[in-house]
Amino acid sequence: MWMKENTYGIGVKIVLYTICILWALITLVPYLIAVITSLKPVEDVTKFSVDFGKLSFSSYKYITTEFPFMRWLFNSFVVAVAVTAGNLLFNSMAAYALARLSFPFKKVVFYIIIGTMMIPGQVLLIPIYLILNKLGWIDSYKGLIIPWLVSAFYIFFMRQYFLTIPKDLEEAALIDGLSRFGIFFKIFLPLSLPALATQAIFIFVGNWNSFMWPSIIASSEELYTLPVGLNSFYGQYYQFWNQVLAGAILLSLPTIIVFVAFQKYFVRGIVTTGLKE
Amino acid sequence: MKKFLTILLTLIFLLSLVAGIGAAQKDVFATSKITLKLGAWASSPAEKKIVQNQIAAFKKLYPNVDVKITEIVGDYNQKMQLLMASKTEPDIFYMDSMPAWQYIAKNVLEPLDSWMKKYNVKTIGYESSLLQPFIYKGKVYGLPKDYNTLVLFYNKEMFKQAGLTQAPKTWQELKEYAKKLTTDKVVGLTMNLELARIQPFAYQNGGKVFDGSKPVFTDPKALEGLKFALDLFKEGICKTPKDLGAGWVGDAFADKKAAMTIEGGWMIPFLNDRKIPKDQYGIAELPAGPAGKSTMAFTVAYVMSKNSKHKPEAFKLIRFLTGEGGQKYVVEAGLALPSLKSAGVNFAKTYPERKALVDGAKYAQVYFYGLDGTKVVDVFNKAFEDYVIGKKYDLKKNIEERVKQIMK
Repeated sequence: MWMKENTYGIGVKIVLYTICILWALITLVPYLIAVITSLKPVEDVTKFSVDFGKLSFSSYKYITTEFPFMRWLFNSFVVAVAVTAGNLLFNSMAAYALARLSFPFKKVVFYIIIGTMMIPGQVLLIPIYLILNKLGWIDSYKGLIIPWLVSAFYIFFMRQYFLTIPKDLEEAALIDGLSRFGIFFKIFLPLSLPALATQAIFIFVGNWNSFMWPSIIASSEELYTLPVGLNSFYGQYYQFWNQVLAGAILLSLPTIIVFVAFQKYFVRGIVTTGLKE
Repeated sequence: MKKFLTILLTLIFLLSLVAGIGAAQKDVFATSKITLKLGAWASSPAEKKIVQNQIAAFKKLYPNVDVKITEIVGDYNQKMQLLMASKTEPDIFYMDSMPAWQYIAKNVLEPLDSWMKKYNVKTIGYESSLLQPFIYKGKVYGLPKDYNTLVLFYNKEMFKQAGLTQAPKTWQELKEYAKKLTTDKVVGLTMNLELARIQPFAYQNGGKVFDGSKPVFTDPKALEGLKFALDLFKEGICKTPKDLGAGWVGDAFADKKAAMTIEGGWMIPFLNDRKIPKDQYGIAELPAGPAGKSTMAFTVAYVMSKNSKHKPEAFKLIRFLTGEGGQKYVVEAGLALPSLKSAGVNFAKTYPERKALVDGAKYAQVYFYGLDGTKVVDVFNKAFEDYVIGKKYDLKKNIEERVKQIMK
């Protein structure tokens, strides 16, 4: 909690909570409009009024039956879960090495990793595509997953977090005969749950919503992830907004669930990032 | 980005030259099993169905050739360039009229003339205006797969109430009707404020916007025609769909916010989806101007990649898709118009109420302005907006200034 109990009087609290609740409502309105529009019949989409008698799940039915929707959902899950798991493991390992081990050119390696964050993704499009093509990974799960298993920013992020873990812990463990891997898995990872949760949320959500790469790599329909599949609802000249929004709502549900599940750690993660004890 | 793409495409060109010198033309038709890739942008399930049916029919004729569809979701041109850079582009693919010359000039497409001679395909069989964007320096690079023209859709119910019996045939009538039909709830006419809809007025007045190789910006007759259309907006008897709070003109028309609209044939499947009965609206040719009739045509062709490893088979596929065998399915679906003249006759028979769409092909201008298409459109669209908002009343001066800014 950012507010200590009993710092403010009850009146001030009421005002603060009212402001917070109002703000929450304001941010919820667009989402509610999207939900309602997705339930409307097509002729009412552009009308502002809501006729509750006409609301139905027909758009949802249409997109889940007319398109291989379940397959896309499955693909999205496989890719997002695999990429998130890979990132949690590899970023943390690299971060541990940079934070705790001493090896030649450590500083240089660290700066190179940080430096890669400055290269805009668009520049990498063609080289990565060429590499994937040479490997024969275009239009396969490998191509959708493997290039994104590591991320420079989160290596940096985890390193900063690991630096805050007291050295004494590690030394004690070393004396007791725990191996490097033991220290990493048994001490460091359990202690960094908030940071790992923050990473997991950001990477999962980012990957779940990513469109550019999957759309380039997956050229056959059965490999589409949800955002790519949903994009194929768009007609060349017009689209039916109730269907597009029904797809968008379905796409947003898992990210909301992930956020709610990890939210506790997530807030803690943001608060503690970069704090030295 | 533009510069980068130019460099990229130049590189591709050089690479393909080097590769081309080494590669000898294979001319034997598939004796063993091969796979052709067909590149298409993502579109409605109905449109996908057409291509799938066409391919199934093609496979019956040529059992040795398997055809796989590579569907491109998102920015088609961007991804096509990426595929070309990595030499993984499909053997044949969709090409819109607008960027066609840019691709051709970069030397990434296969000229089709020699193949056409060999397999006896004549340009005369296609609606002649449609081929123009795909002919560059006298060579043919693509054969149109289908097209659509602009027509006038009008709400019969509203016409009856206003005491009007048929669609407007002249400029005067268009203006008069639009005035009559405009009430506090309904606007007489709705269309997009963009070159792709306003241009026909320039040609209906005997003007020109494009002379076959380069754009013409300030032809006095054209400006006069454009002004006539823009003044309809100024008078408030024509509005953009945005001003009517509609997603596009189709919504405005279906929701009875406008009595008339100028739009392409893709309105028809949309109105069917919106369950608007067929007898509630009429489809007519665009009103004729002082110098006669004009409309826009939008077309997409099949082109062949220079890097294709199976050129004879790829050409046979193009020939099938744009010939009698494949065009039959375009007619059946009724989403777009067949580009083959003979199939166009069948289309008019199958859908007599859509005759206006086919008739338009005879005097249509294809949506295409040479190498700098997007810039040309940009110049006009911005000038149109300024004129309607009334920021700059002098259309000619404004266009000239914008040409200086944009067309470097």
